[in-house]
Amino acid sequence: MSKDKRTAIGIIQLTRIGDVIQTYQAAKQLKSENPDIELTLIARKEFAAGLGFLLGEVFSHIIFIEIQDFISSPAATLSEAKSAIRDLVSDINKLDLDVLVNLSFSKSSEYLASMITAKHKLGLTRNSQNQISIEDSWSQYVFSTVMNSESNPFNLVDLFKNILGAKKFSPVYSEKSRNDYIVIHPFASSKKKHWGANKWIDLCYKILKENPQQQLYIVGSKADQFNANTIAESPALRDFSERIDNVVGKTSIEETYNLVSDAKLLVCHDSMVSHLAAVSQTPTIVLSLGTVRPSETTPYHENVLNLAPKRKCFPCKVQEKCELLPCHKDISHQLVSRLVRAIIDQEKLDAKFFKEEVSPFYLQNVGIFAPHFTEMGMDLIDITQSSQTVQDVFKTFYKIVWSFYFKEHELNYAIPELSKESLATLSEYSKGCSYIYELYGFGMKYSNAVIDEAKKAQPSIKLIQENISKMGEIDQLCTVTKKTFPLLTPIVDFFFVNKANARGKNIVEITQSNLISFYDGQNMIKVIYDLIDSITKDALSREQIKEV
Amino acid sequence: MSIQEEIHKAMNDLQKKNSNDLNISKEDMTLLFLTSLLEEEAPNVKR
Repeated sequence: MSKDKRTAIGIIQLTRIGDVIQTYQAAKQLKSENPDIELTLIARKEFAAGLGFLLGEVFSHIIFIEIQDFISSPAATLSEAKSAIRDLVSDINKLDLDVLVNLSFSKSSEYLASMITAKHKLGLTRNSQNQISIEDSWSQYVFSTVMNSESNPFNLVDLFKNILGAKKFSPVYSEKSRNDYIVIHPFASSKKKHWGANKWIDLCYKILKENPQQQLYIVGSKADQFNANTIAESPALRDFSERIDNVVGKTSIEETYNLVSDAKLLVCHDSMVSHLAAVSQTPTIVLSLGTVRPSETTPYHENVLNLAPKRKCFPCKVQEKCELLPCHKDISHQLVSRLVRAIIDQEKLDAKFFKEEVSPFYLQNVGIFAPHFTEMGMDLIDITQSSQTVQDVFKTFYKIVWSFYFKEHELNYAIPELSKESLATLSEYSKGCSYIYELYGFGMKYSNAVIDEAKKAQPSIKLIQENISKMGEIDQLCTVTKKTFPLLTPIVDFFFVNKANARGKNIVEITQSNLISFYDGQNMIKVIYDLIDSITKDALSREQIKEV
Repeated sequence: MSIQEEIHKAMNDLQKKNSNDLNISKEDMTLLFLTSLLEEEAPNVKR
């Protein structure tokens, strides 16, 4: 190998356009911190080809994948398909990658990552027993928590930055002049995630009526043309037809990006266009509905308002059926149009604004979140300062404990005010913490017993097996506990995945890794217990003062 | 035999191999990659 060879990093991102843009944002930060590295992106052609104008800034090589590369015609054989895959892998291996990072968390990406040769691998791969293998802790976190729970407090761009090893976690804002038009993107990848045409018609009517200087552009893909026409050609909007420009299906992604870049404001659902606006830092109002998790996918910049329903079933899961879509009614078009006017008129969106300018009726079932960046990345702050739920409080707990676990950052947050009902639920959770604490304590005991026995000159295999089986029982009991205390799921799942990927070449080394996992898990659950304790004690003392 | 039938047969063989705790090879990985890519490209599959 030549001494001058630059560090070559390959990134696999086989998921959708939004994820590719978020990957680009994280990779751009890494590249700006390490200009000498050579980055390669491996992505699906259908999701990444249209983003060439952005990706080219950061990636030296972009390798597109599509099924037609392997099955070129109906007459193709399996042997030909496999040969084409081998050729692809061989071409990638010619890049002599130092590090391969799989950021996509999909089955196909796991197998692709396994076939590619690299000195180090991060993210999901498959081992020779066809089991998922994850070496790095951040990817273990994403796999165990982001995919399975609503308690993840981190934005995906921050998670990608952490996996890649970037150091800076707040985007630099640059002022730019903007034109007098608003862009709307009233679509999303599933029915659950977007309002129907009628609510958008109501919103467009109010926006156009209240902001007479503004032109309105509707953007979207060819697949959205029918719905776009329903909105643009609605009789209710006839008087404003000259101020509506329906360009749905007529612009490339690059043209859409340019249009959004110069806009005064974008109003949309959680979608690819919201992430394009993050790149150009266009002020954006996002309406999060259905399966969307605002803390994960809020566009990664400061000029965003993210409106999200406040109801127990939000966010729901992709596989859950919902015909009535109740969360769609939680965000009113009147509230959105008031926020549009406030942004256009540069009003200050503080507690006074929401008290004096917005009817409490519109704020009843909705949280309005704005990003705030710290050394750990994006935090979403509820700017209406409405009371927090137990779920919100646990999200903050997790931000504190994960930030310390992964980066030894100590974060400080004010003690939240909770309703009596929420305090009672929180208080119940201290029992769950005690159970897990005790179980992890037993885990440490059995791990030590295995290590001590295995180190003996003539170890008892029976004794080792007994203790290993007891450790298996701990996992089962933790699973039972998390069913009763679902908000403790992230800790139980993370340490389960962490232990399953324990490092070591022999039983002593692997059990030593497990011992550390149990120890870390116990410390983490203790911190959560202490946080619950301090909130409930604080509430109790305030209650006593009131009584006096 | 169509490529779909070939893939189906090859996956059955691989499952037998896997259930007998035999290691999977790089060649097997190409098949698993292809089938997972086909699954993910099927219509209506969403994240």
